[in-house]
Amino acid sequence: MALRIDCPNCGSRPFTEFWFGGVLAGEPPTPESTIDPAAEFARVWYRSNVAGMQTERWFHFAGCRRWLTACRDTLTHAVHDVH
Amino acid sequence: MLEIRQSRSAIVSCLDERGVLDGMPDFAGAFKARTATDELWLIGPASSAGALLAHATDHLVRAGTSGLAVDVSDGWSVLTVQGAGTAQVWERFSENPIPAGRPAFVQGAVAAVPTKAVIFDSCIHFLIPAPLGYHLPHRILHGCADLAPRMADPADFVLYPTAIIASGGVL
Amino acid sequence: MTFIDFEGRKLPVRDGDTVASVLQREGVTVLSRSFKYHRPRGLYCVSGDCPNCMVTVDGEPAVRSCITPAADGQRVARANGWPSVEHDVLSMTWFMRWALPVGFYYKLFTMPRWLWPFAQKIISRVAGIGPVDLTSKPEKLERRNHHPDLAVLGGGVAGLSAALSAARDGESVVLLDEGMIGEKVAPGPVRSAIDDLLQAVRAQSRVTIVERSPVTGVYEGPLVTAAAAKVLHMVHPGRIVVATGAAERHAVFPGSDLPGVWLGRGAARMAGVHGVRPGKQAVVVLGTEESLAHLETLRKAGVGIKLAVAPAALAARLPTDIPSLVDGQVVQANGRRHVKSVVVLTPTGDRRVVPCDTLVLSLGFTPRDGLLRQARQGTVNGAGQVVSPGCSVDEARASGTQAAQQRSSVPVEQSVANLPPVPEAGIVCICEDVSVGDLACAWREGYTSTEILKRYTTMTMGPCQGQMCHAHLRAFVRQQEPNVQWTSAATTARPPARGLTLAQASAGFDHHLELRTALHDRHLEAGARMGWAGAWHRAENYGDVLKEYWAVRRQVSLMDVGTLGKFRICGPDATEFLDRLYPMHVRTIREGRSRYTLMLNEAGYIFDDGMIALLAPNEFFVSTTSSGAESIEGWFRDWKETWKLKVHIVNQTAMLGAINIAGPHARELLSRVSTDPVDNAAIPYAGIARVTVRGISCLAIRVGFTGELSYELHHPASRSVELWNALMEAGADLGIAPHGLDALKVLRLEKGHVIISQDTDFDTTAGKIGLDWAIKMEKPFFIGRPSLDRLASIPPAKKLVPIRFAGDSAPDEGAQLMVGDERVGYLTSCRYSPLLKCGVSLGWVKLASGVLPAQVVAVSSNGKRRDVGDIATGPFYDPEGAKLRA
Repeated sequence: MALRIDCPNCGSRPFTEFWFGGVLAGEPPTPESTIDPAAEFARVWYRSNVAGMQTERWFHFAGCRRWLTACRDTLTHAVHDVH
Repeated sequence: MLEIRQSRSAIVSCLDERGVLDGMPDFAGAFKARTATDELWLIGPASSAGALLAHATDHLVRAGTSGLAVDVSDGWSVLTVQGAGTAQVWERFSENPIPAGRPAFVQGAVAAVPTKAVIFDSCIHFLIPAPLGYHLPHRILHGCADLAPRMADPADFVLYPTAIIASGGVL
Repeated sequence: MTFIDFEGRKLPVRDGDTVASVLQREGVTVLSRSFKYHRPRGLYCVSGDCPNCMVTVDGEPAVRSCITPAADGQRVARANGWPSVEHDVLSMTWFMRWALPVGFYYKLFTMPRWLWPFAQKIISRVAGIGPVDLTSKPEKLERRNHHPDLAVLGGGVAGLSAALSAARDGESVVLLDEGMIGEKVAPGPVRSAIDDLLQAVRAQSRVTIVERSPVTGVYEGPLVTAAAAKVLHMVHPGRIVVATGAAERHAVFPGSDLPGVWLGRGAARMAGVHGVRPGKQAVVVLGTEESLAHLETLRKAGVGIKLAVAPAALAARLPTDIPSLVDGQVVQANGRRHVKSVVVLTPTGDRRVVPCDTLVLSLGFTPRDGLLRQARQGTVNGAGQVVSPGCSVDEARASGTQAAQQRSSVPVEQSVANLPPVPEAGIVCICEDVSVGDLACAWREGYTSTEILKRYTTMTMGPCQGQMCHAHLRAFVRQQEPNVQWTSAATTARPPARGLTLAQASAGFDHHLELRTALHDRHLEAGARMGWAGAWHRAENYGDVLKEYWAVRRQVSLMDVGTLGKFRICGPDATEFLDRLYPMHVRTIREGRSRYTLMLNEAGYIFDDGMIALLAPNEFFVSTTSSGAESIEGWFRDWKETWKLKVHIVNQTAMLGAINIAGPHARELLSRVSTDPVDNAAIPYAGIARVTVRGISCLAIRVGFTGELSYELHHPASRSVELWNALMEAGADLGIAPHGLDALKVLRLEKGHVIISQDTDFDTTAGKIGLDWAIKMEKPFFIGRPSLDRLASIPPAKKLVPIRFAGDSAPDEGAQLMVGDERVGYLTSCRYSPLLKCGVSLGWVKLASGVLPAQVVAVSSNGKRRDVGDIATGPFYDPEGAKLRA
C-alpha cells in the first residue's frame, strides 16, 4: 500500500495514480527486425517473477499521462532510477 | 469562508518538441502549464479562446517542427476555489504535496479524479476532466461544511482573482 | 455536574475522568468477560494496550474505557455476558475446557457435517467482544493529508525531544499521539519533563501536534495512517521516528487475569492521575526502578500495602514501615470475580497465602514496537523506551534527539535477551483466552514455531496484537528449541496496530464515480433510467423500450453515444503509426471514408474494436469502445514512444459529444437541420463529412450498429444539449424518440453485431467470431502478427455464432447450449426481437471435427427451460444491409 513512484514530469505520487505496464522483457519487433518465433513467444508469454530488482513500465494516468520506466525491488518496494 | 465557482476557460494544448515548447511566449491573462516534456497547456479566459489558439499556432508554425495546437476546453471543467480554507480543501482531497513557488502547477489525483491544479496563495484552479466535473464541487459543498463553502455563479476565468475574500489559508 | 449513563445508572463525572476511572470510583470492577471462557476481567494495563476494559460506548462496541474520556450523557454498557457481565452463566465453559482445547473447532463439531453450521451459530453468539448495531449508518468521514519532513509517533519524552530537535533544525514535523500528551503519566519527574517539553514544542511554529489519533499503520511510501474520531490522517513524511514507548510486562500465572490484578503503571495512573484508589489492601511486586515511585503514588492515594515483593536492590530502598519479601515472587492469585488473596513463593521455596484485594505488578517492560517492525521502507528509527525499555528521562531525551537526526534506518535487533521468563501456567494470551496448557498442547500437535503457533492458537491476534503476549510466545518456543533461531523469531508485524472502524478506514474514499456525458441532465429530464455501462452512466431507457425500438426501425431516433472513445491522430508519421498498430490496411483508407477496425494485443487477441476515418493526409479520426478509450490512450502512447514516431495523440473522448441519429427518416431529419449536402453522394455508407447543424460544426459519420440508416454526429461537448434539442424539435413530426441501451441491445443483436468483452473473451481471435476479413495477413507487420502466424496452424475449437430461437420469448443470456447430452457452449447475448418475433442471440459453440452443429438446445441455469435454436450464417434482420446503405 502507498508505494510512491517519482514521476519525472509530476513528482512523487502514490502508485494508485499509475497503471502497471508490465516487466520490460526484450525489444518488441519492428517492421525492420527479423522475428525468431520462439524468442517472440517467450517475450510475449513468459515471465520470470523475480524476487528482487526488476525493470518495469508504469503509465501515469492520473497526471501527465506518459509512460515511465522504473527499477523496483519486488521484496521491499523500493523504487529506483525512474525515467 | 470558502468560495467555489465554475470558471469558463479556454485551454489550448500544444504538442511539439521540448525546445519549441520551452520558447512559447506568454499570453497576458493566461497560465502556461508544462504537462509533459512534449506538451504545454495555455489556460486563459473563455473570451480569449480564439486569440489563445492563434497565439499558440503562430509559435508552432514558425518553429516548423510539425507541432499541433488544439483547443481542448470542452474536455475540462475548471473549478476555482478561493478564500480561507482553500489549504484545507487541498489537504483533504489530495495525497500530494504542493511544491514551493507560486503559482505552482500540480498534476495528480484530487478526490480520486485525475486533476491538474494551478495553485496560488488562497486560490486554486482545479482542471477536472469534464465527465467527472460534477464530483469535486459536490465533495466540497457536502464534505467540508465546517469550512462554510459557498457556490458562486460561473464566471470567466481570472488567473489571480483580485477580489479574494480575506485569506487565512496560506498555501 | 456531568453524568454518564452506565447500564441505567447515572454515575457522576469529574474533570479529567476516563470512562474507566468513573467506573472504578463507583466500585465496578468486572468490566468485561473474556473471549472464550467468559472469565471476569477488570482494569489491568490502563494504557490502551490490553483488551480487559473494553465496553460499549454510545453504541460502539470494543471501546477501551481506560483511554476514553468520560463525557456528559455518554451511554456505557458492558458486553458479552449472559445474563449479565457481573454474573455470567457462560463462565461455566471454563469447567469444560478439557473438551474445548486450542483448535477445538477443527476437531469437534465437524463430524457429521451437519453439526458444524449448528455449532457455529452457537459459538458465534457466545464468543466475541460486543454486539454490533446493524441499523447504524456509518458517517462519511474525510481524510487529512500531511507532508512533513519528519513524522514522530508518540508524544512522550523521546517523541517530544525528537520533534523539538527537528523543528530547531528548521524542519516541519507532525507529532501524533493516541491520547492527549502526558495524560497517562502520574505526576512526578517524568510528567514534569513531558510538560516542559510540550511547552517548548508548542512554541515551534513548524510542528503540528495531532492528538487523540492512534497510529494504525506504517506503510511503504512511507505512509503513516492515524484514525482520529472524525478524520483519517494520512501522513507522508520524509522520515519517521517511532517513540511509542513500552508497555509493562504482562504477568502469567493462575489467576493473573482476575479483576484486582493491575500492572504498576496502570494502578499508578488510576491513583495518581484520576485520584481513585485501585483497591484497599494491596500486594505490590516491584521489579523496575520506577515501581518505587508507583508505590509512593499508591500510598498517597490511601492504598494499604500488605506486602511489597522486591529484589534485594530495590527492597533496600523501600520505606521501612512496609512489610516486604525479598527475592520472592507471586505465583497465584485467588478469587472468583475479584482477587481475594495471592500466593507468594519465598526464596526458600515456601508458599504463603496473603489476603488482599489488589495485586500490583511491575515486572519489566515490553517495547510497543509493532509500528517499528511494520516499517519496511524509508528512514524509520525508534527512540526512547521502544528501543531501550526502562531507560531514564535523560536517556529518552538524548535518544529522541539523535533519532530525529538520523538520515538512514538503524536496524532494530530482535534479540532474545529481553524475553520474559517462560510462563508455566495461567492464561498467557488474555485477548484470545489461550492458556499455557493450550500452547503446550499445540506444540505437541506439531505446531513448532512462533508463526504457526500464532495461526493455530490465534495467540497475538486479538485486540492487543501481541503487545502483551508476543514476548511470552517467543520465550515459550525458545525454551522448547533453544538452539534454533528462526522458530522463536518475532512474528511479522502487520497493520492495523490499533483498531479502527470501517468508517475510518474508508474515510475520504470515493467508490464508483460514474463518468457523465454533457447530456446527462438532459436524459434525466427526459425521464431516463440511468445505469452503469463500464465506467459511465448511460440511459438504459426512457420508460418504454418497445417504443424506442420501433422509433429506430420505423421512424427516427437519437442516442447519446458521447461515451465513445475518440482520438485525433495526426503528424508526419500518423499513417505509419496506425498501420503498424492495426491488423487492417490503413494506407488504403480514402479521404472522407472510414473503416471498421479491430485492435489486437501482442498475443493476437482482440481487446477492442472501433473505426478509423481519414480526414486529410496524415489526419485521422479514430474511435474506440466506451470502456476502451482510457487504456487505449496508454496503448497508443506506449507504442509511439517505443517506435519513436512523430505522431500527435489527442484524446478527444471528453471534449467531443456524439449523437447517433438512426432510422429510415435519419437523412430527412439531418437535411432539415443542416444546409450542407447530406445525400448518399455527399455522405455514402462508411463516409465521413463535416456538416454544420444549426451553427454547430459536426463531423458526420455514417455507421451501422443498429442496422438502420444512421449518422453519428461528433461535435463540441459544450453544445451537446443545444444539438440534441435542435434535433428533437426538428424531428417532432417524424415521430422522433430517443433510445437507450436496452433498445440498442435488441437492435444490434438482430444484426448479429458483436460487442467486445460482452460476447468475446480475453483470448478471442478474429477467426473465432467470423471477422477474419478484418485481419489482413498479407500485411507484413502489425501488432499481433507473429502470434497469429503461430495460431494459424491451430484451427479454432469453438466459434461465436448467431442463433435463432423460435417462440414467443427468448432464453436467458448465459444459458448453456447442448447437443444431445454434450455441453457445447453458452449464450453470450440474447434478446427477443419484436420485429422478427423470435429470440435472437450470439453464443459460443464447439466445433465437432471442424464443423458446427445445425441446431443446439439452450438450457436455463435451473435446468427447467429448454429452447431449440438454429445456428444462422448471418444477420437475422436485413442480411444484405440494404437499410444501412440506403
